[in-house]
Amino acid sequence: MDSSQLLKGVLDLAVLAVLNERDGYGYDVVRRLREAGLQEVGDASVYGTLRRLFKAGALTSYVVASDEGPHRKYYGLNDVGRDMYAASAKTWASFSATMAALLKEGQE
Amino acid sequence: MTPEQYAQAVRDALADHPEREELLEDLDDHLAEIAAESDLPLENRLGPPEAYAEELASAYGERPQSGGRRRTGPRDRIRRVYAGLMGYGPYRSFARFLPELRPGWWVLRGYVLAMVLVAFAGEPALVPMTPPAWLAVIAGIWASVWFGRSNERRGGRGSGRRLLGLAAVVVNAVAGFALFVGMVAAGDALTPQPEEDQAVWMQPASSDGVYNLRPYAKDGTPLTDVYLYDQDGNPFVTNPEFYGYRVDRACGEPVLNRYPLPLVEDDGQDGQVATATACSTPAPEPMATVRPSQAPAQTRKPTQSAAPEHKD
Repeated sequence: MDSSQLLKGVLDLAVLAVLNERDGYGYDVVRRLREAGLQEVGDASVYGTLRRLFKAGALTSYVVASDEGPHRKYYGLNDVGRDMYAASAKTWASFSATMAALLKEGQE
Repeated sequence: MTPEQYAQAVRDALADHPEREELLEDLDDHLAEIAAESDLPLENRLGPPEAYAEELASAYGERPQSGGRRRTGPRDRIRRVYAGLMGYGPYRSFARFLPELRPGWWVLRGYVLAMVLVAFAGEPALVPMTPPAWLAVIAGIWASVWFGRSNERRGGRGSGRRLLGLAAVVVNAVAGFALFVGMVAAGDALTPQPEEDQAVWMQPASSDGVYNLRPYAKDGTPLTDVYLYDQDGNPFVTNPEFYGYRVDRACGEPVLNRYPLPLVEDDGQDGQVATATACSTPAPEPMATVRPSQAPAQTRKPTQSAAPEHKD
């Protein structure tokens, strides 16, 4: 199974999780997702997801001047985002538990 | 591709996205961040800009995905060709230079269109000749520059914008065509027309034109009855009538390329009476003192003002 297909469904949650940890700018979020093991996450997907979550009112954004590069737009969770994250995480936890149980049954 | 070009290509690919500006708000900074991390070209790391744009729009979730395939209308194809051209260095610098020529084109366009109107008003010309024509040209240039500037300033989208863009295309096309026609007309005017059946026109050393020739032999003896032909073997004929002379026909029809020509001043009379005695000589001598046979020529002195003078 192509994990990029799975990733599509949970990319929102993954991005919310990364930002729940700490605020980050676009490419920083991409990098942290990859460091966490989601190697095949697409830059454009993350960027598009950030813009969509921002539009949905789940994120705050602020610009930080950078000495060595371009100005960076940081994104962070606001209350809406945190609620969204909590709800999605809960859904995911129960879903993955169900899946794990299902797979366990199949293996026995 | 530099991050700017890549961003531009993504913008172009998403030209018809309803929320393009919101979606791509900080794309430039984002791409610059990625570019700063590695020397590898962005295309190698992110794939072609069109695919990037597709993935972006899909993650953003606004564009309906019809089976994952993008429609490939003529607009998409043009965009792809444009993106391909922009990836080509010399074209890029050329395309960047083009906007600098715009104001010059506005002025030229205004001038050309004003002259088209002036031509329709009945004074076809390449330059304004009358005060109303000058006024039309000034007004035309002013209007053209104003139109160009306001068109440039207006951003955004919408039907009004599209209409203005269409108007600009039409205006530019008409001006371009009129300019071409005008240049062809100017080229015709500058090209010398071969004059058919015309006598020989020569550039003389003196200010007057050449209407007669006086050949001399090597030892200085004046020659008579010299037949001259041009390089093509055609008789070499001058145009004395233009200079107020005519060929003396008193002794019959003369050969027009036999020089010196027997010329008389064209005063409206025919010199038959006065020259009747001169006909014993085939052609009048240019000098009166050379041969004894010149007697008839000597009899005709300029004092006989009533008779046409023999001009050779």
